[in-house]
Amino acid sequence: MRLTTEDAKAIEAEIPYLRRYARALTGGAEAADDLVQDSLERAIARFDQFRSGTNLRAWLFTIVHNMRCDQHRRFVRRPTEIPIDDAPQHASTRASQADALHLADFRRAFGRLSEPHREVLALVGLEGLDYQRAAVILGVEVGTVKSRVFRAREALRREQELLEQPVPRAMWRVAA
Amino acid sequence: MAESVELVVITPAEVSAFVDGELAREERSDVAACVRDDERAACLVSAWRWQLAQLYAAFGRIVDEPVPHRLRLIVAA
Repeated sequence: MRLTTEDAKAIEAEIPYLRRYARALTGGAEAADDLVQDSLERAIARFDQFRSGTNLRAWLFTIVHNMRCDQHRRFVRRPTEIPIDDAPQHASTRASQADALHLADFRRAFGRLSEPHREVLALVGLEGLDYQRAAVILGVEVGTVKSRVFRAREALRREQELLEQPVPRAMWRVAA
Repeated sequence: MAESVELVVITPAEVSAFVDGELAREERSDVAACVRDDERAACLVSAWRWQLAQLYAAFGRIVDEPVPHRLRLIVAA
């Protein structure tokens, strides 16, 4: 479908948010941009289904979500753990090395969550959507979003605690 | 007779929704009171707020990155 200049501009303005959401889902920058590319192509092909006046970003997030579901169906045996780019996200971020390490740990813990947990935390916690909007995007009830966010938080805390476990002294001795 | 005390049960899932500002006014004030009085609820709230801060620190600034040319091309085409 051919976009008007206005529609094209509106979609282009949403690309940074799609990239962020996709990065939280996939972990890797390349995989995220591939996902955004596929989603944009689908969005443009189906733009006649977008009802003007409704939230464009939410509509695009729905497409990213559906695209991910399709990918999962295709790669059923895909491992749950996803690769995470540990490189600093932004050159101008003046995080100390300790902060950078800490964030790398956080990304690793986040990457170990199940896809539904990553999705719901990314939509609600990162993109700031309310439960109602997240429910529409994910195609579930609002109550499901509420309980899923809670479980995702608990799962994330467990993963973070696992990463914080110090290496036992005996292993240090073996390594040294 | 001791005056009757209304028992309000707050679940962790409600505390989680409270962190997201998703509770209606009455529920919200119940949970707020619980967070004030109960150390465990207060711990949950601060742990989850800290998680949100980390989530944002880990991914938030991606929106400031320049959009790769290949993505802009799709929309421009």
